[in-house]
Amino acid sequence: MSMNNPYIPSRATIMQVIQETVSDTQDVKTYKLKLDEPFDYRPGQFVEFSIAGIGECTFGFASSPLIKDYLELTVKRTGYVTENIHMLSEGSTVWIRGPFGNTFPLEKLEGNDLFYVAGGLGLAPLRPMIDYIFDPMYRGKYGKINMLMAARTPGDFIFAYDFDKWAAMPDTTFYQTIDNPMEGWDKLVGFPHTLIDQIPFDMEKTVAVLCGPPVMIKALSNAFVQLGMSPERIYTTLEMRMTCGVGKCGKCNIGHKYVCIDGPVFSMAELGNMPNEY
Amino acid sequence: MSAYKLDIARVKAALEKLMEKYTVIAPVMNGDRLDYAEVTEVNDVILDNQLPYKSPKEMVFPRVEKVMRFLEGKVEEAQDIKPVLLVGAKPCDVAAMRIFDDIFTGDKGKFQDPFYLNRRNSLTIIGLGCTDYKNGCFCNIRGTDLSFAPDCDGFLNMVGDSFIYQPLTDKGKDIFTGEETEPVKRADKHEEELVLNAKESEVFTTMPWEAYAEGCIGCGTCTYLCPTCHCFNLRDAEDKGVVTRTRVWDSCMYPKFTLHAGGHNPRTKKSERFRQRVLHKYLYIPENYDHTACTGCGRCIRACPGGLNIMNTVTDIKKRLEEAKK
Repeated sequence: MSMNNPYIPSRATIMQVIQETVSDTQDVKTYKLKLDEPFDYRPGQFVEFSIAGIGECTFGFASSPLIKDYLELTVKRTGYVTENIHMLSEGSTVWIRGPFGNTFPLEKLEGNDLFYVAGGLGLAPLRPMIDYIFDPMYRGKYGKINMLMAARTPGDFIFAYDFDKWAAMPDTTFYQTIDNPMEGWDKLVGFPHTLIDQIPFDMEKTVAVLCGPPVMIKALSNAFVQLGMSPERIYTTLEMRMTCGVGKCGKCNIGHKYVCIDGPVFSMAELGNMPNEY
Repeated sequence: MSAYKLDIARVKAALEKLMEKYTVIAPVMNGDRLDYAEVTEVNDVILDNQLPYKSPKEMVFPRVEKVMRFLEGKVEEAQDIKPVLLVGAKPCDVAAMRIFDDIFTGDKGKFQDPFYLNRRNSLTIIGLGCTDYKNGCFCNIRGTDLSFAPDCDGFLNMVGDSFIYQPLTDKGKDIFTGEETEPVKRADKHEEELVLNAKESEVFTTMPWEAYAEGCIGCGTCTYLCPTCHCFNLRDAEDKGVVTRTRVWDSCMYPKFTLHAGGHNPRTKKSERFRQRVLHKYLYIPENYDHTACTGCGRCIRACPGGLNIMNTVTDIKKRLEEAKK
């Protein structure tokens, strides 16, 4: 991004394309990018990613900010721009501007237990925080970690190659669930909001960090509140259609808040004061 | 700064001279309609009580603005532009500039919009007072004075056969001169302003939005004519192998405006979109910038094919809020 012009992207090159989902649709891929002009970012932030002549899309960072050589974005094939992104291969030129948005309040959360719940592609924007906190430099600042990863079918998990590594992390309990029972599946079954009461965690010490489709976020945060968790202790990151990323284009507002500059990270306490329009 | 009295011949002679230095924009006839447009013949300029059909926002926020071109793997940023003199901006349209300034250059956004700043800094605005209200005007209850608006470089008022010009900034100092005179007296007090002092939750679900939006056909005309509507999209187009990225106007009245790629849409109903339009102006921008983003120009009311009326809607909301408090 040019110094004084947030609309001007800088060039990036695709180093590697990773096929994430292995279900029938195979509709999620991760792009490892090398930037001409690397920049720092924080977990929770996002970028505008474009192909010249095709257009821009908004994606949360999907890799830890501690990695300085490259960054990763995870893209589901779902519309015109993402169809075109999915046709790109290693060596292709793409364009990036950012970073935009606020961040997960990592310092504020120090000393707490964490409970990550991610549905499908919702794991992508949590991964920078997950990997950042798992870094030996920071792991000691946080308590016990629960992780509940949800996907439609076993083939729809993204970052499945990270799961063994995460599950083996100190003081961490790792769960996986799919929507419906399937032969050969011996882990959890059902939507996350129906499962959290079966997972032991310390209500007073835990901060929940959720991401997934809007319907999942709403059901899940309600379930946490029903169990007695304070909305101040539940964080999520929202997606909204957006163009500019800098609070001008008028697309991503929820009431007077703009997801691009006031978010994308919100606590459920904040969202509770905002109109239910996301 | 003192004011000057001058007749229309002298205004036009000055404009003729100013056209050498500036691109001069003023109310001129475009077919059978009055528009703010570039002046090519000074006698075409019409400085009277009429309100041009469209707002002058295109001078700072064009319908299509070149953002950049992709050239051989590099980007080429848009070029500088020539100074523009906007003469004859009505008080409601001058007032709208302040809203644009807030949104595109204010602190809330943290980012300054370079395209807007470039055009805004190149723009000199000379306001023109109205002598009476037109059908649909409600600036009187939106805090805009018929004969004055502060957010411009100089202001013209029609007094009898003459104009009184009051310079307001250095940029406006030498635009017009004439015989020194007293500035036109400004109205002391405005009528009660049409504002909403409410919480978002108080009006979001409790008002009859379906009924308010009943006639809406979703054409978006209101947003295109509105002097404060500023939503936009970025578009890429390729010509002879060169891709140009442009910024184009968008409208919250269209269902796809908020449609997620994944299919979810926070605003599927027209009543939800109309609610966004009304509350963005009367609640959300006031919350972020301390003033309402409607200047009472009445363009959306005059042009709406479905007969929607933002003034009536907000008046009704206000009435319901007051009744609820009793």
